[in-house]
Amino acid sequence: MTGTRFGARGSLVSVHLADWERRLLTELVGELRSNLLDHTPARDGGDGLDPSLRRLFPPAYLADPDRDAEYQRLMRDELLAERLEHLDLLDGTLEADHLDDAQVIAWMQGLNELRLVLGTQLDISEEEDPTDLDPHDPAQRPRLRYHYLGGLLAELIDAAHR
Amino acid sequence: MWGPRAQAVTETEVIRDPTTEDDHDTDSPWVVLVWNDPINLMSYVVYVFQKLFGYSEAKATELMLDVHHKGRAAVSWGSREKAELDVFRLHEYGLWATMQKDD
Repeated sequence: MTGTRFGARGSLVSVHLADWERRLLTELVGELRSNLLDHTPARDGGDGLDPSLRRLFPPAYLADPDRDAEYQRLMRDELLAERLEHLDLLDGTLEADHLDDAQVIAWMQGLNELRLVLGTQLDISEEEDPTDLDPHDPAQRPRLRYHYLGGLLAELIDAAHR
Repeated sequence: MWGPRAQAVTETEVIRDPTTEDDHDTDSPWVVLVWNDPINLMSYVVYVFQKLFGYSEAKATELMLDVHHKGRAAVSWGSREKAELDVFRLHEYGLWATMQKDD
């Protein structure tokens, strides 16, 4: 599937987003940034982490809680800083008409972070079919946003590959 | 279906003797696993494997399909430090990666 919202332009990727898309992304990025700053307890090994953020801070050692606690103590702050940086870069280039390599990667990581949090909140399954959703039902809005972000990310990956 | 935890707990009931296991295990090879999840896009996972590990598109696609169909795939090997770095980079991209000793 070839989308039209991103295109290859030499070594750059061109961006063609509608105003409502830029506004939506600004809103979603702002919400996630606040959520991360308010609900990511540093260096606590995972206890107390907001459940919707758990996919952003996964365990490194599944069967070794001591090692995992040590890993989380050493790395969680850095991972949080990286996540905030992706979101800042995405937010800061939402008005741009083209993206360089580093910006493309930050967009991918930022869009994927939004999907991971929304998908966790919605308890998304692989069988999810967006064509089942009623676009006019306000209760479906988070699901529609989740699928919107997936479509956008897929188009960006496609453009970055060209 | 949310992930590997339930399966992994039963699978890794490894008896570890604390008197013999200390820092010398940093020399043992470690393996980095990526687990299936219902959120990450297949094309995104392929992109990340190529970007982080330099895999060809064919190899990255094969690994992604292993993750998708078998539930997980081994994507890199090395010292504990290297494995931790690879896990961190995969987490940065939002993939579900863990590491364990490669027995």
